[in-house]
Amino acid sequence: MDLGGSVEEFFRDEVDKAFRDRGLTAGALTEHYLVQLLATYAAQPIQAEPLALKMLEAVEATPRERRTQLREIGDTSLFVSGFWTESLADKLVDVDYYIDLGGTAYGELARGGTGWTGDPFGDVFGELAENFARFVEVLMVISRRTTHVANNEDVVRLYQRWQRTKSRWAAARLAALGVIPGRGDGRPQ
Amino acid sequence: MRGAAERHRGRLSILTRLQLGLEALYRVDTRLDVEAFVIDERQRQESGVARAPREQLLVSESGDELSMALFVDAKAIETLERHDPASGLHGENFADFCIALEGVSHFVYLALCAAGERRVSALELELQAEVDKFACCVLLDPAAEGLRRRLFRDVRFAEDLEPHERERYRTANDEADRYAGALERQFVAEDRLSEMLADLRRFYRLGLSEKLAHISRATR
Repeated sequence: MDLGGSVEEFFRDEVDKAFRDRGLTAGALTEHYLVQLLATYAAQPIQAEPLALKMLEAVEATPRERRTQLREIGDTSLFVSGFWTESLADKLVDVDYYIDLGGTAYGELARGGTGWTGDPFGDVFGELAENFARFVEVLMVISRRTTHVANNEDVVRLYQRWQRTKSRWAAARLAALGVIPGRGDGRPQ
Repeated sequence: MRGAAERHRGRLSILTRLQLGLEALYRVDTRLDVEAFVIDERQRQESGVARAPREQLLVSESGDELSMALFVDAKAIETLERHDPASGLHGENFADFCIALEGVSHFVYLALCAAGERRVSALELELQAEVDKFACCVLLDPAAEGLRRRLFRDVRFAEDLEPHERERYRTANDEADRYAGALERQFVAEDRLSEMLADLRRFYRLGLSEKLAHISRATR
C-alpha cells in the first residue's frame, strides 16, 4: 500500500473542499504546497525548539540554512495556528503570535524571488505571507473536519481568551462556531 | 555541426531523433537542430558550472538574447546508439534514454518559450520533461509494466542539491506522476492513445499554473 500517496490524496481533497467552503482561491502551486505541508506534519512531530529562537538563529545562518529555518518557522506557524488551534487555548502565545511570526518568515522567503533557477516556491511564499490569516482559516476548516468538533468547553475557553486578548482570530473562530462576540457588553451573542 | 553532417549522410543522431520525436508528438517546430547546441565535458567545465550532472542545459541571457548549450553524457549517447530505443526500452537503455530525453525536452521547450517570448521557470521545464519521458515511454511501449514506478518512484535525487533544487525536482516528479496516473487510467488502459495525445498537446501549451490546475482537474 502506498501510504504516502494516499495521505497526500486525502489532504488534496480536503484542501480543495476547504478552499471551496471558504470561497477562496489560491495558485495551483500554493495548493500543492499546502497539501505537502499537511502530509508532512501528519507523519512527523513538531520540533520542540521555540520558533522565536529559530527566527533569531536564521538571521545568523548561511543562505542555505536560513531558507530551511525560515521555511520551518512559516510551515510550523501555519500548521499549529490552523490545525492545532485548540491546543493554544491556554498558552501564553496565541494564534495571532503565530500568524505574525509565520507571515514574517514567509515574507522573508518571498524576498528571494522565483527567478529562472530560483526558489520554485518563491511566489507561493509571497502568497502565504500576504494572506497568512486566510490560509490559517483554510487549515482550521480541514482541522475541524478531520479531527474533532469543538465541544462546549472548547467554546468557553475560546470565548475567555477572546475576552482576555480581544484577538481578531478568536473573534473569527467564535463567529465560525456560531458565537458572535463583541456588542460592547463582552457577552456572547 | 555533427548533426548537420549526419543529416546529410541520411543518418540522424540519437539527440536529433529525440528532438524530432518530441516536435512531432507536440506538433511544434523549433527550427533549430539540437546537435548545433551540444557541448562536451571539456566545454562544460570551461563554462564554470557548479554541478556536473549527466544531463545539463546551460542557459545565459544577455539583453534580449538567450544562449543555450546542451550537455548529455557521452556514455548515455553510446548506450543509446548500441541499444536503439526505437527497438524497445529495457534494462540496458532505459536510464540513459531518460537522461537524453530530459536534456532534449528542456532544449525544445525552452527554445519554443524563447521564440514566443514567454518566461519559463525551471520548475515548469522539469515538470514538462517528466511528462515528456512518460509520454515517450508509453508511445514506445503502451503495455510497459511499472512505468510510473520506474520513472517517478524509484528515483533518487543527487545528494549535493540545494534544498530548493531538491524541492523543485520532487514537485515536478510528484505532479508528473499524478498526471501520468490520470493519463494511464483515462487513456492508456482504455486504449485511447490518440485522445491521450490530444490531452498531452493541450498540456504542453499551458504555463506552469495552468499545467498544475490541469493536473488537479485530471486527477479529481
